[in-house]
Amino acid sequence: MNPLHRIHDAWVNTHPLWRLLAVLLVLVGGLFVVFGPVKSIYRGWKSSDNLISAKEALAAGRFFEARNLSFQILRQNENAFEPLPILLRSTIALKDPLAVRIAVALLKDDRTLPNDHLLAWTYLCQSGPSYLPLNIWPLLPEEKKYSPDFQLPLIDRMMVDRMLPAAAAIIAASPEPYSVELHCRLLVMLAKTATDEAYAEFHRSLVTQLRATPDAWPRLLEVIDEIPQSELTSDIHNALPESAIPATSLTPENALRIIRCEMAAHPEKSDELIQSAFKRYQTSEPIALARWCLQIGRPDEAAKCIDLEEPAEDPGLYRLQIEILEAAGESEKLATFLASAPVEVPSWETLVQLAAIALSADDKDLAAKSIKDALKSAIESADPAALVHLAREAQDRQLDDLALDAWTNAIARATGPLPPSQSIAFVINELSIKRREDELYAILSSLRFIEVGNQVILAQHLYLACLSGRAEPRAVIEELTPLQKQFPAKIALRCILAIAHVLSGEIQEADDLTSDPGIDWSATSPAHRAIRGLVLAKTNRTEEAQAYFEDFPWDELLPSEKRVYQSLVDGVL
Amino acid sequence: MKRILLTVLWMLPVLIAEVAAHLWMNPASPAEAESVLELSFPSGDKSWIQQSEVYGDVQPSLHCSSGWISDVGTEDGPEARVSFFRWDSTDTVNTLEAFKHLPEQCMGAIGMRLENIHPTRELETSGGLLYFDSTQFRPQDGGRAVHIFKCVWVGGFPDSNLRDDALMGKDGQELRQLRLAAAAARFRPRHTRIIMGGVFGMPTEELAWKRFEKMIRGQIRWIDVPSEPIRSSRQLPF
Repeated sequence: MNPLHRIHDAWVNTHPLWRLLAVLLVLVGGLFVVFGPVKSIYRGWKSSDNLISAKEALAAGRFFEARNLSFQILRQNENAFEPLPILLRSTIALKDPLAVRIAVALLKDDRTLPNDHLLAWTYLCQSGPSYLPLNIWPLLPEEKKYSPDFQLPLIDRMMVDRMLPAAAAIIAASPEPYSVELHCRLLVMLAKTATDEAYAEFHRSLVTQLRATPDAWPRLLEVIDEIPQSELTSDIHNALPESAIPATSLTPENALRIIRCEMAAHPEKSDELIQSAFKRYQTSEPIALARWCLQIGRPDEAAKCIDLEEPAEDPGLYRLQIEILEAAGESEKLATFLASAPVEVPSWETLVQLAAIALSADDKDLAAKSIKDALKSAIESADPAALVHLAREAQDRQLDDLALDAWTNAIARATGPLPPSQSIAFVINELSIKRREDELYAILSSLRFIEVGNQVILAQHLYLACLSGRAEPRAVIEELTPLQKQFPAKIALRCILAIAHVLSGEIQEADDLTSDPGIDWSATSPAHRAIRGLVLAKTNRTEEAQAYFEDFPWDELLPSEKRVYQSLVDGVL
Repeated sequence: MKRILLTVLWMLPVLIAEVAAHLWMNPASPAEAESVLELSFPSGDKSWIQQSEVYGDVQPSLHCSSGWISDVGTEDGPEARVSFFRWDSTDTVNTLEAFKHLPEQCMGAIGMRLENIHPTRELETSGGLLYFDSTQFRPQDGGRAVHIFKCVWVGGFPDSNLRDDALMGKDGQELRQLRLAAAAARFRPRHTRIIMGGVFGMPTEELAWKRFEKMIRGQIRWIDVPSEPIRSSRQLPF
């Protein structure tokens, strides 16, 4: 009997149940082997299908669908690159804060196409936390750093964040000669600096540029919008190229700018020039004329240009009405207008103005209510930038408490065009002074997430986390020891690490960190002095320690600092 | 008649068992005065704010005779919650109630994660040593640490220790074994007290204990009350 017959006999003689099980086993095994590749083929097909649909949805303006389909592709394959540009465009259109993270992913990916790269960069500069573009900037290739497409969005963003010296440094790093746009940015920076020296330098630079690039005068002249009429001198009028003066094809805006220069050169003719401007533009260009009147400090004349009987339905025109009424000091009418804003104008915008009016009229109740409502409206807004805009507006209007609350909420929510933490260090300081510890911890946690690699934020966050029982002292020691070795001169780092060692019972390590005789403890903050005093007390140098706690300002410490340091001192001193 | 006799005969073992149990658990002894632990509420201290509503919510489930719950803090907000519960003339089950609730069981129910069981803390008082079970919790999604200190004082069992005491069994869940043990030891104290404190946001257990000890030390009293004798003053045998 050959082996095949033997196998056949064995098979026939086996119990049917075992035979059934054997057949099933083979079938399942076969399916298992085949299923893997089939599944991946199906997924690939499904992904390409979803990608096509996502592109179609994006092109048709169905942003929700485009976003969802892109997510589906990413769920199937988290390394897929193709859906990212679609996801970026759809999330930007939907004002989804996720767009920031997608923009960063695209900027760091070598596969990103140039137009996607530019879109991601522009979006990040305009709408993301500025820490992100500022940290990606050094990593960009040189040709992109000198390209206006990449340079200008960053400079504009830095100007919004009032980082003027840093923005000027970016321009200074560009190869000369600078483009007209870069010159305009420098001029605007000077105008925003708003000092006598800056205005003088503004005029010198503008005159030089008008002479060096006469053809660019229309663009260069735009920058005079940034300075008040009282600061304009005759130099600019004298430096305007001949082509500008008698030009007949001027835009109304440029023609009015030239009149401003003429007024600066011949102040005695101001009324006459204003009358001629009214004759020329009152009917044809009332909005441009009204804005111009505000620039030259004539709100009453501006009021003659547009209808101020009823609040306009167009948001742009409405905002101009508000500006005129505010400049003209018509508070009552202004309050009425603010109560009837068009739906496109967010309510926080009108409420913050209402609060300012109420404060100037000494109506504290209305001011408090408006401030509260403005903050609530910005928090509930679908626009991720609302809180940041409210904070800036409140700051400009010197509504300090509202500004602080708006910044605190904006940072804690980590949305919108947040400035880098060093630009809003006052928020951290104010919260510390006001001893609003929970909010301080919330913004430090948020900043630690946004500004990954910011060692100051990392150290502050760990310090507060440790003192408030949110992080173990051991974890603080592990995270901060390498950093302290990198920056041994930083007293704050030494003190944070020292208190973590004290709390871990490692007094000698704490003493080593704080025993440098070069440290002038009287010049350090109370918290740092307390840490040194504690180390001295724990090392039995009681008398020396007592000097550190003499008339100690316990109430200047944060609640956690006070609680922990007092508990540590208790029974030792 | 035969039927009635039969019924009585059937009931007799039950009656005998009941009488024997009563005699076992209530042996005749002369009355003695007893020093009972008391944590007085510092009503003059504004940093202590009594939480009557919270106490009202927990009292029915604890079956305690009286007590109070208070937040302790400063103008910066509460930094601890201190509770004191009394069980007087209670039965064994209610005293066991005080023992069998380990902090991790009730804290777990409100979303706290047990992080650490620290060595038992001892507090020297005029009436003897008090043992505080010390545990550390944190909310499930992170946040400030909460240190819980719990002392169960049972009249007649001065050295009773929440975690190590034989009453607990291995995990505090062996209720049947626990009840048998209590009966065997004639465990029927007249007074039971719990002092419990949760200290929020302290970086170490040592500091949390220091803070808690400072809060309660001045409030601890020992009050002499006339009492039935403690049925058994010996420790449970297992």
